[in-house]
Amino acid sequence: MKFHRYKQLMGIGVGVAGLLIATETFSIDEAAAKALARQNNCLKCHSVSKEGDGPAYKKVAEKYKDKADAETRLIEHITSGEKAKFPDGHEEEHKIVKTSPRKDMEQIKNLVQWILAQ
Amino acid sequence: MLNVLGRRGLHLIVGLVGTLGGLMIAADAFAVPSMARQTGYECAKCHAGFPVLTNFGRKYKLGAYTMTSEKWDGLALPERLPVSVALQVSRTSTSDVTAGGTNGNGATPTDFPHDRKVIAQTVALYYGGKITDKTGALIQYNYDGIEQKWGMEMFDARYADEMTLAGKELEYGITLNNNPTVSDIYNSTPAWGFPHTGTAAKQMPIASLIDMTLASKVAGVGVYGMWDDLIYLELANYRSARTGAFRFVAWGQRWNDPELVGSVLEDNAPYWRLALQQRWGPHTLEVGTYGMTGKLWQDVSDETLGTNRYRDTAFDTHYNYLEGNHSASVSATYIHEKKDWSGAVQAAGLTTNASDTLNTLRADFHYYFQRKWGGGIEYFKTTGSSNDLAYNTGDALMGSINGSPATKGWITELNYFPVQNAKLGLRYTKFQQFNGASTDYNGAGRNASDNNTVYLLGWILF
Repeated sequence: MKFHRYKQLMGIGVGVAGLLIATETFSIDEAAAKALARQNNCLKCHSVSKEGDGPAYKKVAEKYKDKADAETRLIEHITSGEKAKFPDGHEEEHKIVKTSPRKDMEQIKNLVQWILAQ
Repeated sequence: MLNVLGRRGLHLIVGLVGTLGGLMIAADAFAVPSMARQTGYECAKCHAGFPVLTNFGRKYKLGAYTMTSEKWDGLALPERLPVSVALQVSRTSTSDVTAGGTNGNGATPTDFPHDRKVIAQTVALYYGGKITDKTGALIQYNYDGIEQKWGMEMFDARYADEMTLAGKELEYGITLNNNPTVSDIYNSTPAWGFPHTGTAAKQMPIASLIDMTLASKVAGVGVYGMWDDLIYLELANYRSARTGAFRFVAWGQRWNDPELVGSVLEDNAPYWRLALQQRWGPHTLEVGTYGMTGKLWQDVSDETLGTNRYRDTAFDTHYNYLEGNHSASVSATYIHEKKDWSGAVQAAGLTTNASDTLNTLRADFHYYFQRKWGGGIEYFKTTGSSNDLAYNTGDALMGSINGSPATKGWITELNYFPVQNAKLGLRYTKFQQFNGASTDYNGAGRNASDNNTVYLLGWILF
């Protein structure tokens, strides 16, 4: 009996988690993320699936998969101008993503979540 | 070769190095070309030794030169004007300017008005960069010290945008330009191919329609797109810029100049371009095809001779390697042209054949270390059908006793970039064959090797 109840609770837990994940995925505004990426010329160096001057977004998503600080880390990367290493070995400051209105974290988070969802 | 170079040539090199060395300080402080100022990047971000483009440079061009940096966005309007200036100083030495002149039918020094003279080859004013968020331009208006005239050398204004097509990114746009292939993004097509700058020498291989014949004489509107960094397609239509709303793209053109005979377009000339690109690590490889058809007036000042029809089909490939201190590239193009002479030209006895072919092959290899030192070598070859009436003109330099356009040879060039926006060049052009023969090609005793040249170049942009 106890075991049955435990299974019920597990099922509810998994369902809620699934719902949360689904809600999180659904909340990404793909069109807005792509528009922001284009406005900022992100796609001059990155593409979703191909290697360019920057890594493919699929590769980025794979690298940060299961990492709790993925969103924080990527937000830092695209808003701080920290150094990025290029395929030819040189380093330069990563472009700071600009939003309108300025420094709108909702737009930045949406872009980061879109990248992580690839 | 040193004899051809001469003491004055060596003085020129020393002088240029000194001058450019002095300009280094200025360049670092403020004298950076407009595109670098706009993007916040060094020239090397877009160029593997200008004007050769990197992958990023190709993307920047596809995007209509609109990318900006946060710093540039914050500048006041006058400081954001994307204006630059370029200066090219050169000296061309031809091996022999009198060979074949003994019987009165050969070359004379007057055929080489700039030989062994230091000239301001180009003094150019550029608009290079963004106009609006989605439009930009690369426009060069300059004084040409060889032709000794001001004019619109290059015009490429664009609108560009991006969208998703079949799940992949498509960068697309519209271009208005004044030279077929000037809109292209690879350095294997004529407008951007090696050797990048002309010399003061007039003895050049006969060129096909698409091989710079129409430069600064036409206006073309085209659409282009790069899909998934894989397929590049461009379609355009050109018309003569002698008249019409777009004649400003040919400002300065002397339409009655005898030099323009046989190079003025009539009616429409469609242009097409298709390329496949693949990138892996530091390597990028492109293979493509391009071409155009069109009609050129035999002599625009005598329209009774009518127009000759040209059909050019070309293939090209470009490979580049960029990693650390090393930059290397290989480019090649092959152009096949079929030319149908007008009935009036045939009736006037100006051609032996009703139709001719002309084939052009160029292949080059370049290497640069730290994007400062390097150079390249190119093999060039022109072949085609013989046409005694068309090519055996009796001209001291270009006349062919065999009535043949067959020309081949090598170009080698050494370059040094003392600063990122300055380039020094030493080029040697060796002709193994010129217009059908290696010796006595004009029937007056002039040999192909008499046309060999040494060319010194100092080029700075700021």
